[in-house]
Amino acid sequence: MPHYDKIEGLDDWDNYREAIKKYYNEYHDLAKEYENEYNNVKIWDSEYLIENNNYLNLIK
Amino acid sequence: MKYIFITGPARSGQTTIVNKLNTHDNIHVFDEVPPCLPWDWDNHKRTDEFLDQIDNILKNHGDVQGKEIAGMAGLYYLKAIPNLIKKYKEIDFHILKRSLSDVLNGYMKKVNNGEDRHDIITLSQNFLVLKILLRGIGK
Repeated sequence: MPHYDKIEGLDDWDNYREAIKKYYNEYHDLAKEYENEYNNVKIWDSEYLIENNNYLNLIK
Repeated sequence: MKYIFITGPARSGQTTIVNKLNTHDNIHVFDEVPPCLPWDWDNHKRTDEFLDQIDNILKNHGDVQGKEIAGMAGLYYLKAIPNLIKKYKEIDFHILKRSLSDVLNGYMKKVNNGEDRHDIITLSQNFLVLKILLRGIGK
């Protein structure tokens, strides 16, 4: 997992939030890159998959 | 045998979806089993070893015998996607995305529940995200 430097001037909670944001954005930037590059990579809205039986889309 | 990989940042609903898939008799998806792949996957010396370990689980583990679909789920598979696509003909990658605000709230609930409170100290000292992320998904 990536390491992020602590941002001076922010308390631990805010640093924690900032680290999660950086990780989330870095993760999804790369995910989008792979989705564009490969036919068998797809990004899903996880809330959608959890509703009803929409998760079955993963095995079609 | 068809293979599926499910990945996404922690707190994205992965375990819920894996549990739903595993209610089907012809499917087994492993949720966060070793090897945990390194984030610096591109330059890691043990890449081939990790791929062999994954292959062994998918083909030989007792839980996948007789299944039509075998899978692995883990936040750490993202960077291995190019390697895994080269290795398997029948493979699909599903990347889970939840809103940033929901993911943040998920983390905060975990940290606030008392048992994870010491993580904020770990964060202060080392700012190592891995430990927090893995704790965030209850592993």
